[in-house]
Order: sequence, then structure tokens, then C-alpha cells
Amino acid sequence: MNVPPGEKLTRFIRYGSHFSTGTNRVKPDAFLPHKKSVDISVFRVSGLNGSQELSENEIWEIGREHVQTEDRRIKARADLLASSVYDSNLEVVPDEPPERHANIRHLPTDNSPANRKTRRALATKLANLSQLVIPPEENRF
Amino acid sequence: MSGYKNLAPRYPTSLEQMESEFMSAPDVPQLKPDAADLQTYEYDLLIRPDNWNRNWFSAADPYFSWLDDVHRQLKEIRQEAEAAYGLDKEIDPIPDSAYNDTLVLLEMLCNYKLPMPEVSWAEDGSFSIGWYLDEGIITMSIYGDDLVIYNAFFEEKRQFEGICALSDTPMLSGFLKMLTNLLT
Repeated sequence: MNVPPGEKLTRFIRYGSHFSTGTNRVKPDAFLPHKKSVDISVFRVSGLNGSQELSENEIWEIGREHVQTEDRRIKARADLLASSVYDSNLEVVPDEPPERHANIRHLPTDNSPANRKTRRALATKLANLSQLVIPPEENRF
Repeated sequence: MSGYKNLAPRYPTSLEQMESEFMSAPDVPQLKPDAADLQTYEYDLLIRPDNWNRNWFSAADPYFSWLDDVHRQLKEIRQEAEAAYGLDKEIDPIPDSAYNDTLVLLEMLCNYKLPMPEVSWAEDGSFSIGWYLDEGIITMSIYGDDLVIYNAFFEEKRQFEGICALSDTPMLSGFLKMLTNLLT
């Protein structure tokens, strides 16, 4: 079953050049996985099954636990609504474990120029509809 | 004159293709079919940036300074990409040709009165040159195969995308003129 369109998703960003601090924007590069991957990994950060909305600290904790490595620290995250994904003719499908993990699916797979263009267009749209969140001092990893 | 016209190259179909790819771009100056005579004075007027005759080596020239800054940025980005690849071999390495093509494109952009872009890289093995505005995002991406993928997204009804060869000067000029209108 797909993630409901009203849910909030987050994609953790590990590279400084994947967002612009000058304009506070997420760059499309943050939504472009390597070519062997057909999915974009995200976490569901809304309250699930009637549970409370996650706090900012809890969201950063998810990133610290499941995405960050010793060498690749989390620099920021891109928050977006699942509805933005569906509007782009993509899907969000739960993919646990880890808890709350989901994948954005149906990016074009092969690496032809036409498919690259489509992947870029989708990534640009998702980036434009995302909100950049920078970790506050106490959550800088 | 008519004899000259007969010798002129055919108006590039790729440019016509780019025009057809517009969904609803904002006020975009369209190149006229007459622009086919690539070496004519009229075509020069059409594509030549206003600062064409500027002093390339003037320290006070803002576009010259901009190019230096972006070159520096690109070197740093390349290091970030190489470090990431060193840690995770699933990431697609960015070929040297992509770095060189990005330098060529930056030199080209420098001829237009565009604000300073930001450069970035992606795990799919590409560099991008981009402008990140409150209202939207414009990027030009390079994978090192002589192709440029350009993309602009403002809102649902104002988006366009395309792909062309880096050497396809007429088509790139059309896109860069459009960028100039959007960004300046």
C-alpha cells in the first residue's frame, strides 16, 4: 500500500553542494541517486497510525541512526509532501526496515539521454517543491 | 544575396525541437528562421551578448570575476565528488570529460549577462550549473558525453526541459538568450 498523499517525507542530504544556503533551496542533485538505484530513499516523518507528529529532534535522530556514517555526515534535509511525489507521476512505497523508511519509485531506469533528461526534470520538480531544513547547532553531526 | 541564401545551412532542426518543447515558458525571444545564416551580421546581432567587446582581462569586469569564482567552486565540487566516490563505489564516478565540458559551458555562459551560477554534482555522475531562485530552479547538466541537459521549473505551467549537443551553438545560444531574459 502506498504512503498517503498528506504525509510529510524527508530526504536526508549528505553533501554540501546538494543545497544552496544562499537561497535556502534544495538542489535537484539531492534527488538523483546513482544509476544502479531505481529508487529515491526517504523517511516518513508525519505521525503514523494516530501517533504524535515527530519532533525536529526525533527526525534528525532518524537520519543519524539510519543514514549518517562516520565519513558522511548529514548536512541538511529536504522536506516535502507525498502529494508532490504523486503529482510528479511517481509513487511512495513503504520499505521497512528501518522503521518509517520508504522509497520514491518509478524513475526511468536505463541511462539513455532521454531518460537522464526525464530523471533530471523529475528531480528538479521535487527539489522545487521541497523545503530545505538545516540542522540547528545541537543537531549538527 | 539570393545566391548567398541558397548556400546557407539549413536552420537547425534541434532549435525547432527546443521551441516545440516549450510548455509555457515566460517571455522568451524566439530566434527567427532567418538566423539560419550563422555567419551573417543579423545573426551576430541576434546572439551576440551586449558585452561581446568587453575587456576580457579587466579586473573590474564582474563577469571575469564570476568565472574565476565558479572555477574555484567547480574544483571544490569535484573534490567532494571524488571523496564521495572513494567512500561508496555505488556512486557513479564523474568522468574527466564532464569536468572539461563544464569548463567549456561556463566560458560560454560568461559571455551572457547572467548572474553567477552555482555548480554541483550528483551521484549519477554529473555536474550541474544552476540558478536557485525563490520562484524556481534552472539547471544545465553535463555528463561528459558532449550533451547538455537543461531544465527549468517555476511552477506547474511554467517549465521546460531539453537536451542538445554542447557543440550545437545555435540551440545553446537560444537557450542562453532565454536564460538572460529569465535571470536579468
